[in-house]
Amino acid sequence: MAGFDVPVRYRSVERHMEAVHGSVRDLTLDELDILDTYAARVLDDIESAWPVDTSTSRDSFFYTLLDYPEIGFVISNDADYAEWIHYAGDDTPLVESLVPEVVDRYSDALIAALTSAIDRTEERVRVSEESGGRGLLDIISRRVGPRAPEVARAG
Amino acid sequence: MPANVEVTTTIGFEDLDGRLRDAERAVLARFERKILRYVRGEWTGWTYKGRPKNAPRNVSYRAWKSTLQTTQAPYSLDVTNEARDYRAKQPYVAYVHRSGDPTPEFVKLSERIAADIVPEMAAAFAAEIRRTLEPRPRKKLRSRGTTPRVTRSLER
Repeated sequence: MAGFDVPVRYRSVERHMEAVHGSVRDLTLDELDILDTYAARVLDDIESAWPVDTSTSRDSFFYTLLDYPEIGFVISNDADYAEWIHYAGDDTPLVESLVPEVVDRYSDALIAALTSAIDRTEERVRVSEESGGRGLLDIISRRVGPRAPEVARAG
Repeated sequence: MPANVEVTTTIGFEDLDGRLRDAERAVLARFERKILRYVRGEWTGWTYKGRPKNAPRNVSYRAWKSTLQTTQAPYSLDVTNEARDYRAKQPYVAYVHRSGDPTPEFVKLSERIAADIVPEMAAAFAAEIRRTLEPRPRKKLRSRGTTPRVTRSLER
């Protein structure tokens, strides 16, 4: 199958989690939401900068989140020749230039936001355990964060 | 019943063909993100009864994705989920339902999206089309063959 996948793994966040939790655990919904939000921003920027005269490739982008125990996301494009697309006058494929550049644009902010969220989770785990609760099981077994707003009816 | 979930919304207008303009595509992309965030927002509150403490959670939450096709009519928006059970490695999302309700959750979400978001999306898209209405050249897709898939891993 042609196209490309760019897995972006945040080992720095995994190391931070190991330091505060003792091991890499599954992300909570709040933490997943942060990761998802930044993955969407990366994808939006890549799509916006992708050459428009490239037939189906600009329409073939999507992202998925990495599976536990890895923390990150994958930027993918299923178009046959997407891995060869480059800007006019520059032979470097955009998968090797634009994609890493956009990832770097957001990485510092993502790492800061996600490590802060992890720290908050660990504090809640500590409070839960100190008050006789089940710690992490109490945090991940119920809805975390605000519920999605009601969708307004059209018209 | 297939266990993966794929919900396709087709957007077609008579006499509209060819690649969408950026502004037109941006309207659909905005609703693509809205629908995906809505699905993820609703795909919460599951009870993992009997699941071991260290077993993964939110597997199916992570697997929701969307793709938008705006190169030729009819344009389409796909929302899919191909999550695999962490033990059996089999697709299962189509069977997921809330306790006490046999209706698969994706069916309920699809109905709410069709009722609450798609009409708004169609109206916004039609408004953008009217705003920039002019004759459009027909486009053709040409197959350029296939090459091996490329993977470029990044670590930060």
